[in-house]
Amino acid sequence: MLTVGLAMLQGARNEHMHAILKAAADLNVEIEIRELRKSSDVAGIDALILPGGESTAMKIASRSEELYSGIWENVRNTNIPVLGTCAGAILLSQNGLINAGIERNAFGRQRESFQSDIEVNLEEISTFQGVFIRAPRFTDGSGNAIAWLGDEVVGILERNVMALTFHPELTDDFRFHLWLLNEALSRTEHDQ
Amino acid sequence: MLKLQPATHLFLLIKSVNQTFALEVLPLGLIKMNSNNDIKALRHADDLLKRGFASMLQGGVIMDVVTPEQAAVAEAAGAVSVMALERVPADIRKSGGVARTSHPDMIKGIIDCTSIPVMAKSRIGHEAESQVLQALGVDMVDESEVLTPADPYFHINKNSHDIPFVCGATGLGEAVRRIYEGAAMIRTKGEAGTGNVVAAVTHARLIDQEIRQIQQLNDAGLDDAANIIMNRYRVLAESSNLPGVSNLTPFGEIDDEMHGSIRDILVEVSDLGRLPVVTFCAGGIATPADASLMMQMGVDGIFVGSGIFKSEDPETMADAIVLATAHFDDPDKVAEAMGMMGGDPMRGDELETLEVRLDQRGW
Repeated sequence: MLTVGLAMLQGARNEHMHAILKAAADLNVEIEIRELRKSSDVAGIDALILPGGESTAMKIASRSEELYSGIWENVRNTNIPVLGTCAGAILLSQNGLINAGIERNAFGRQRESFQSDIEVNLEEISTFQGVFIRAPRFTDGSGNAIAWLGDEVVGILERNVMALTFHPELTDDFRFHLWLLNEALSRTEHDQ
Repeated sequence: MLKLQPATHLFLLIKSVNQTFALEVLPLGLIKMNSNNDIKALRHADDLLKRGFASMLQGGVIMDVVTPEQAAVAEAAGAVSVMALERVPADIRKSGGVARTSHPDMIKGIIDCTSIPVMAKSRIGHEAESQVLQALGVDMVDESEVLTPADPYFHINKNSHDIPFVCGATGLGEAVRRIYEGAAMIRTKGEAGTGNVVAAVTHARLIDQEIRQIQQLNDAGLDDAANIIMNRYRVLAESSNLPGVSNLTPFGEIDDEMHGSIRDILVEVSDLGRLPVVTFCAGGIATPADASLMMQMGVDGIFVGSGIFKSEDPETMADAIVLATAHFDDPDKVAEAMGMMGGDPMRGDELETLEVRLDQRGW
């Protein structure tokens, strides 16, 4: 049984919930999705999802419960795998969980949102449908790139923290969610 | 390793953004577009991107603002988006007359000062107002009954626009027609500008109960339900009194194809047990507890129109409603939010005293 934490204060959590359930069914693993609203909800999770949304709203909604400070402490202490998409990637960058800068809404407004096939260098993923919605862009850094739109980096993996500027959860393709569960599984097996 | 290179092709990609902005991005390195990366290959404006935009708003509060200063208050309080308009619904009610889309300078002023998405209202059926809003860079159009309807028969053909739309609904039929017409998001209408949540509760309950009814239907029942929902277009077309057009709508002919598309939406509703697009509530939310109530009824988020900037202490009210929406199922947190209110919420109205019922606009 894996416990997957999902930051719930704001953002596209329904789509991540569906994707992670499909991935769990595919792997035939039992999971519990823990809805994270307070820092006290974080202890004991085996994997973490930070959904897209508005990063400003997420930080402010977290204010009185310090959800995110609890999350960062937990990730640093336990090295659980993390999947952050769009605003989730922004929070990971701003809090030093990945070694890359990021600029919000860097492609423009909603009318500039777009889809394009992207290249991925990850076990079992070589191409993916990239859905970019008012997307951020990595600006600098030395992180380990794993996804590209043309030659532009759109995904970074450092240790087991993955930051994507696109939205795999909006597609029917749950391979990034499979990656998250596989990472969590290999860690728990290693611990035993 | 991340590569540093001159990003000469980046400008192609964001050519619709103004040049100053693009030049600011260029020197940052890392961002390089492959010369094979053709802007035309990027697919814009389809349903996935429209509904995806709406999905990002889940769990959030969208606030009506009439000035850039109010937009700054909303963003600082944690709003996921602002609705730019000239007067909040309570003032539209008071002043009467024809309510239209806002002045472009006002909308641009708000777009320029905020980093969160900006929405703006278009009159029902007013294709040109919504085209103007899209040209201004608005992220989502609200085809809203709060403004005076421009077309007494039909709503905007939202599929023909690149940016997403949110539309109001008082029941499932209305919601399904709007989704068929291309709406990427639905909000309960409520009764705007009243500070009275009763209409929002009524509409949310009705939509929920109708969804349960749809789930009980067999194939023949779904056929009938799709017919009933489609026939509303026929009634409208016939009432237009124009000879020979009674079968024609801006969305296509009233025929088997339309029936099939509407039926497909009903099947999706039945499978999901909810509307297939993000669903917010709107109209009459005046306190943090109102926001919590609507979230507990299963909506994805909250529109607050007059409730914030018609209250005595808007900044604290904005903070409090965001807090109560994020922690809607935790009574201690909602109590904390209620306690934050530094003054009275907006004065509310009984619906029976209203001269104009906005929720009866749109069909």
